[in-house]
Amino acid sequence: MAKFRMNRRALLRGAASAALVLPWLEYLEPERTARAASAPAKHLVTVFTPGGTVREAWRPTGTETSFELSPILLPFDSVRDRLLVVDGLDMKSAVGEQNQSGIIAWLTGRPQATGLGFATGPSLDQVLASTLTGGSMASLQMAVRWGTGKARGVPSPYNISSFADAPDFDPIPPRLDPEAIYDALFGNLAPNEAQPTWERSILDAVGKRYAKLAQRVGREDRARLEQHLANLREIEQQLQQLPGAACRKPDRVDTSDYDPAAGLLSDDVGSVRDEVTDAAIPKVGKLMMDMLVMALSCNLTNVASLQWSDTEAKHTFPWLDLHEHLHFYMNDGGYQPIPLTKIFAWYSQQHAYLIDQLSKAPGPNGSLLDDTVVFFGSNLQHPATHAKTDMPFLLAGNGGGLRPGRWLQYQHQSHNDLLVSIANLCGDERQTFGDPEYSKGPLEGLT
Amino acid sequence: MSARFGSLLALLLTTSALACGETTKHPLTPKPDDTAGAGTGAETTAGSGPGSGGTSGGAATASCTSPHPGPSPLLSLDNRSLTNTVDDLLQSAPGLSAAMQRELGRLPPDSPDHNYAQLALEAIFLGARAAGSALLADDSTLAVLTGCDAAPEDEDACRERFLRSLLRSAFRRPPTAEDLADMRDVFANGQKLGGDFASGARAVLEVTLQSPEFLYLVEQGNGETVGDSVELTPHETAARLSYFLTAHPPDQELAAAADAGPFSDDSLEEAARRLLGTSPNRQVVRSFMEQLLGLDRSFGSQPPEYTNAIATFAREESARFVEAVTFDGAGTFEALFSEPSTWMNGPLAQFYGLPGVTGDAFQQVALDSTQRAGILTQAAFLASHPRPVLRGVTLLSRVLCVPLDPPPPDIPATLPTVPVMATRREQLSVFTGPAECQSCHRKFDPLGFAFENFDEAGRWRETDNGFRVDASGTLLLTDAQGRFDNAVELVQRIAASADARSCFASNWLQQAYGRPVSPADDCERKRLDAVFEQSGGNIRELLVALAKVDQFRYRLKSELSP
Repeated sequence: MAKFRMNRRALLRGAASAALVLPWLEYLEPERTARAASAPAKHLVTVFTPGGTVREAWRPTGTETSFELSPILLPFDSVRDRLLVVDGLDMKSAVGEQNQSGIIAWLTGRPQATGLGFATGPSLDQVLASTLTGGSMASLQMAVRWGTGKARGVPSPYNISSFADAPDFDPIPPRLDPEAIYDALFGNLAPNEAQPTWERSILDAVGKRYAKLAQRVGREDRARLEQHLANLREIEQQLQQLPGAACRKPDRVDTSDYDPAAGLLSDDVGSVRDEVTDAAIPKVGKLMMDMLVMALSCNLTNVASLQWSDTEAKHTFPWLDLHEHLHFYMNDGGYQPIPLTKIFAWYSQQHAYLIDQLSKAPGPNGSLLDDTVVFFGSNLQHPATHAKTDMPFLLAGNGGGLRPGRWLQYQHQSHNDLLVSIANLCGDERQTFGDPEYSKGPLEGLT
Repeated sequence: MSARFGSLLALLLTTSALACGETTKHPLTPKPDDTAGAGTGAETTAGSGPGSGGTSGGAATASCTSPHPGPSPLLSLDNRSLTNTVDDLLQSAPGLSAAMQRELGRLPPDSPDHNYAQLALEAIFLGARAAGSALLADDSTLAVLTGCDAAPEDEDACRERFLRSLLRSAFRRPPTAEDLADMRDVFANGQKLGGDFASGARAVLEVTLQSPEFLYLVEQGNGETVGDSVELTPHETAARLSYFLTAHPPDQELAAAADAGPFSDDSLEEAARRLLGTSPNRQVVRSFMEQLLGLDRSFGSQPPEYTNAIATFAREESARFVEAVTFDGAGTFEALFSEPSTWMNGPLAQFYGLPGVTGDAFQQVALDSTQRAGILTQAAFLASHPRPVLRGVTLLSRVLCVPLDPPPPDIPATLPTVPVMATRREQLSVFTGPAECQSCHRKFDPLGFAFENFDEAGRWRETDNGFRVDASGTLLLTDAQGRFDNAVELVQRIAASADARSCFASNWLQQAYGRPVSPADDCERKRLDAVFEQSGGNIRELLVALAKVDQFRYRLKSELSP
């Protein structure tokens, strides 16, 4: 027998209502109908890290809801309730050069264009930017220590993850300079400004009309109008706490030691070092995450992406006491899982910070994170073989009814299905995404 | 745990058995707070003096000669009406309408009690804001909407013209002096905040789109008392009629009729016939049937062949069938439930296993009348209610108006073991075999089992789980009662049933009222039943009769006193 969901309160409410006969019938249907009603996510955040993971040190142990975090995922411990480990998907659409095809397919779900070209379709963030509207910018792309190695500081298939939502699916290079980003995003914002005067005045005038009418109608009508007023007041409160408390300029940080254009000086094998810039990566990364959270809070955009470097990441990690570049530990210097684990765990720590900040930023339904889907991904799974099976994907947030706090184990479904699901969570009802050959419909179990 | 639930369960089972055991003179479920002794409409309580025939007396008044609007709660616009109304108001500025509709796409499902949920208000607020920003973004739209330039020379004249025309359409009545004064303030405030004329217009637009007169059917009457009722203004009447029949605000002709003066039975009938003669307005029967039979759901448990595309086609089939029967064909209730033809396109015919239909265009097809007839044998109904119990309960409650109590919240600790090698019917019959289950299940299970020749998605089958299907049974209640061998025999019983026709009419009345129908509405119900019977069960005639319900022209005085 199917399991019935009986909601007594809903039932009582229904019984006194004007639904066409027997409203309680609705409540006998399986639970899925209820879930489908979740409001869509309002924000999408995508975060790229290079080089895959060390799977033995990444994979949790235990069951879906009761699991031990692995060494690489341990930094998520304080926000594990907001994290969804999406295990076992294959990036089948990543066809092309072994590094490039991974970053291209990650958000497009399509093969690389022939002749070491860019993408053959739009990226998910750009597609959803036309659904998740309302900000002053359609989307925001940022990257830390970008354009290393062979790309030599310019857009290349090694380092682009966002592609325009129209042919020829032009690559969208990220913003690199933290000072310039700060000015572009927050330059015009007076400190603690954003009193939503316009919205307040509109709500005020609307409320007056309800209050006035409520004086002149009978008791039952008045009760309805007063309920409406109470709901309006709730919107007003949301407005108050939204930009008032949540939208503020992030603190300025001195990043004069960081050269955002360091990539221009790079060479193919990563022999040109800039350890001063590299040492500033944690500071700049944190600033970019703070700006990202505030860009969402201040309604500047609803679609944001952050790239930790590019697919090669030919920069050093002095703060981890690792003085070779990532690709050296991946295969140029022989596969070295111990330093790699250290690097990947550090990325986890940054992700956890981002999740924590999103969860602390007030949003209309609680926190910003409640209306957000965050997608953490990479261009491959195995650092040495460049295999793209069992990708180390993570989601966070509760947007669209996503249920985090779990470890989902899939059986080699194509990651295109995850892209479809993310689109669905954001209110885009499409049933395939990217190359249809690899896209079979949304994944089960996310909500 | 079992001890704690033991007694509660016993209690619930007892009450449910009692409720199920009642014979019903009134087929409709009365409103719970409205039932004080209202078992029969015939036993009238005395005293229908001024103000006493109100909301809680329960029994019908003795005479049906004076107006009897019954309780008439303040109604919100449902989602379909709201989006139509926004489109109509902003038809000269489609960009603004589109901006608002994008936000209205997030409206939660309609609330059954005609209120706006918090989420709905948010969507409307954001929608109004989006329309406002769009107005500001484009001077030409401003010019279209206000009839003057972005920076007009005579601001006052321009503003007045804009206010009058916008408010006349948005409020569905001429604006009062007070409306105009309020909105002048809103305009001035917007102009001050935004620094230009356009911002004044924007503020008025945003406030108007969220005003009670726009979002609700506000009814205050014209002050003329008739019995214990007050006459509605012609504009209030026009709005009720229009939203009921078209889910749109009154069109120009109806608005002009309202401007010209009060409606009579004749002018209402004329307006209704005119509106029903316009093809977009045929939708009224389609959306009514979709709601009544719950045709718009989809389930994940369905067979893979019932794809989203097929589900959409199946809903389209039922919609076309309903509209064609009502407006092009026999037009009768009987045909709706027993016509052995339907509408299909290629993919849907392939799903049904019907040869000879190709292409994406829908065409009328004849059915094997030993297998299928009428709306209840179409995939949209069958797949929306994939299990026998759901099919039976829906039929009994929504088509025959036999009230049922909710199932007990828990089921007995010891349930019979269900045989594996058997049809679904046999399994379910064992499962619901205990007497406390049967007190209710015997009423609706046979109705569900009648459709055992249709699988969960509505495809024909002779066997289930490898065993031959038995679709026969006996309907115990209403004048449709008796034995049937299969679904077609059952639907023919329903199609010919006076109780079913009366139930159909009452459900329409409920739709027109926006609240449950109670025994106090017997005058109106009897009038509708009579029209429906005299016209041979003609649905269009029923709709025309509904256009003349007292509630569209009167409201109880007691509901207007503060």
